[in-house]
Amino acid sequence: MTSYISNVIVLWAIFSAAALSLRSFSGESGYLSLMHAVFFGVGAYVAALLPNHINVPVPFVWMAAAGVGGVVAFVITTPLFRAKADYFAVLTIAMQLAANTLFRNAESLTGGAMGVSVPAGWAVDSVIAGQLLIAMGLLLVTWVLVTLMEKTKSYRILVALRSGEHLLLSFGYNVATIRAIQFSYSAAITAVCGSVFAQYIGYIDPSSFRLEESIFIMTVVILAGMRGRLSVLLAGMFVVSVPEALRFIPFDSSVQANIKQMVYALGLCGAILVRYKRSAPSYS
Amino acid sequence: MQQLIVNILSGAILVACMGCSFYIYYRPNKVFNLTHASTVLASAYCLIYFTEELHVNPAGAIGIAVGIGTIVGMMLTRTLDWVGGGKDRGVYVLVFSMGVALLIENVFSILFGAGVRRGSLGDEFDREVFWVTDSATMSGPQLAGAAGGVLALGAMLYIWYRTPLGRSARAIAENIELARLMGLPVARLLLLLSALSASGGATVGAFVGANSGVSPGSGLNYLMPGIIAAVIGGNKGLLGVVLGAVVIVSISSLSAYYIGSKWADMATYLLFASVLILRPMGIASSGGRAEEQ
Repeated sequence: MTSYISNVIVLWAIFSAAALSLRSFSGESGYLSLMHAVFFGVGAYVAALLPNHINVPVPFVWMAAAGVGGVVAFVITTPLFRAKADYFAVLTIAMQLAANTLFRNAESLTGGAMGVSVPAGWAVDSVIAGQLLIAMGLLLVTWVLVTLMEKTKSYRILVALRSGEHLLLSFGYNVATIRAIQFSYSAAITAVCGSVFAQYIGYIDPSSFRLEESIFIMTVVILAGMRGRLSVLLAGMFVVSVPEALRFIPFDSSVQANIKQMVYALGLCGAILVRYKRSAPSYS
Repeated sequence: MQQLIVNILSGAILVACMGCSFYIYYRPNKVFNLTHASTVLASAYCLIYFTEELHVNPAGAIGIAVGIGTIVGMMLTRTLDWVGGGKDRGVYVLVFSMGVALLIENVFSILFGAGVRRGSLGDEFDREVFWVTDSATMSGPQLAGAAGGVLALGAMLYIWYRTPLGRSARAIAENIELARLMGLPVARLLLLLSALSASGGATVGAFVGANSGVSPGSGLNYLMPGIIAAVIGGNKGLLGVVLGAVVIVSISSLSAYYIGSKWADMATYLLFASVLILRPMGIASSGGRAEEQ
């Protein structure tokens, strides 16, 4: 039982950290990303592949994951930010699906659909307390990084973009690049979460980084409300624990995964309706 | 090469039908409706159920599947009207529709299983091979899909360009406030357009269910090429969507032919991103896309 609860807490910490990083960008910009599972996956594959080539300490793997995730995010999304928010969301869906194809088919790099094992890092050999310490440390570091990021000039510009984009353009700010920088910061943190996740699980395959996982991370952000940091942790606990609670209900094992997805979907739809229900007269 | 061209044309017809049905809802409402994927699935699974379980006549099963798919599609698009959000409404409707689509996907997974299932248009018809040229063939379901797609596409194009409903739709797309002030019954017209859009998606779903089959997670895979065709087709209406569909399917088929089928989807998504980066107004557009200004 202790290891089960520890497992839930570790997963909560990892996914809450990823959701915190997404909220730090989406909360102020209004741009929702449905491809954060891609960066989660990039970090996971860095954690799986880098130790096979270079014998490095675990923190270096995390830093490498952050670097690769941030660079990939910057390269991909700088041109995408020329689009408006809803087009950007659709583009991220397309990029997520494209990345899935890449993860599945680049067999020489990712192992394809069979996946790849992750060299034993901190997770396999450590005791429960150690696992909890690292997961909570990740969450704490993410909180600090997000707090520091919100004090930067580029973040203030991101906030200002929400209400005065044309004014900032006229001042000569490169709006797309500023958004891409902030997004890359968020993606880098998510990549670290992915590498920690991979080292904890010990094995990864492309099915861990699909569109459903991006929706899961975004569900936490939307449930929390786009501007609350502490509420992200609470929402993360809800989203992780409710499907775990469903295990104790005697559903057929073949539908448990479906029930879990349905809980996420209902939570997502419910959160949007509660927070953004249409109050103005509708033409329909 | 002739077989490649036949495959491109038959694929482009269904993608164009998907794109046009998506566009008919998207253009006046200006929101991305991802529940359209659920419409496709609903129609496909209806066809599978009626042909495989109830052994209904294929023509009748197609009609019933399109009808039920249309009703399901209309009901799902009505739920999008509940979402507010002010100036960010477009994003929240997109996310909400994604949540609804995910919910429906899992319902179908519970009901029909997670694997690929395919309906039947008759054992003999399914096995029949039709020679469309001297060196190119089409299977029975493929031919039926192409024929049905052409009919549906033709109907949508005719309604959009030649009927008062289409003119009204274009007026609403330009300026909904002005359309209402001019006396157009906007609410009723939007309802009719959602029915037209849902019927187009249901038609695609019925023939896709008989041809390549569906799995619960495949709805978005069928919808995305339609969305991409609608976006890269530009603001030239349904004809631009048709052009976009031909471009997408050509790129995808040529990628599959020369590079390998497992990279065909990626070529489509990279094309989408490239067009939005290099020509954001769309391939067929002559100017800027008004809603992106």
